[in-house]
Amino acid sequence: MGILDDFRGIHDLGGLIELPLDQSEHDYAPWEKRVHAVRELLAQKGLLRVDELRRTVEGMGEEKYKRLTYYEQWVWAMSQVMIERGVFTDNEFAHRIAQLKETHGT
Amino acid sequence: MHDHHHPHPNQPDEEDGPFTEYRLMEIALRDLLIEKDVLTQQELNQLYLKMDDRGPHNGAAMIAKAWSDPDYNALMKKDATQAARAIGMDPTWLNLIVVENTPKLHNVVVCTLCSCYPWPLLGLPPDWYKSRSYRANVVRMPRDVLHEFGTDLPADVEVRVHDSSADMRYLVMPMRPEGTDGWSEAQLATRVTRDSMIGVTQALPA
Repeated sequence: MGILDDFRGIHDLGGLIELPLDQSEHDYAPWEKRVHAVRELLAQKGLLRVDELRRTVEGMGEEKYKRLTYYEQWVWAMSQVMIERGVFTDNEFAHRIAQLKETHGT
Repeated sequence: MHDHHHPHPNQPDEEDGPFTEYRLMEIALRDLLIEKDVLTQQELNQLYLKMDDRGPHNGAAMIAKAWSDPDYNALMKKDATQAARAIGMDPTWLNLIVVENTPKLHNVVVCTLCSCYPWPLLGLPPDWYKSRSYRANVVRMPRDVLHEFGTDLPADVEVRVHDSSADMRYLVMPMRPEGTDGWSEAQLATRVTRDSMIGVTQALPA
């Protein structure tokens, strides 16, 4: 590994060797497709640029980046960008999740 | 995809599994965006239907047309985004770039940083396309990765790996299989698979 590897972000995988390749696939769950749809509409409306989404995903920290599934990363990052842009507040979001937890008993 | 839109309280969709923290986050995000009039349920419903229509059959139709029609072939290589629109497809905001395989050149597409993919033409990407191993390895040892997909190329064929970005979404035009002279576009399209448009395989034989 070269000296530049010290500067790699967690997402920067090109040219590394990560074996093995798992070719299995899963059908996207409805909630994952809903995340994709919301992301696409936000992009259309100029409220979420691809680079904003990526920057947020890439900045979530290595532990989280490796633990979360793809659409979990997205929904977390999209929510962060909405809070940054002032579409809703941190409090509103936390409060809504708490309500949902109560309703669904998780 | 199924449309599942319920009044409160949300009911879990069977395929979704149990409510996890991040599934609840999805509901909270979507609900707040609707309440703040950022987007509407109707817009979402329309998009869910549109997403159902996105899949490799769209890219395959373009490739089959390009194999059959020299003018369209030229347009596709010059401006694939316009070529998609020309046959009624919606490339959204993405710039599409088509790279053509020849007997001396094989193209394969990756997004090393994340998951950029021409989803308006191919649908959502397979899991392996987003996997750490594909993103890392295909750059370092493309022939080994192609071998894992059952694709073995002669040593004199150049392999070119294209790293997609937010702005540039590559689609491979595989080589037209031999023995397909006189085939209709619809017949030809059956030979064009998703994986052949990512470049990890060739088009299916005649």
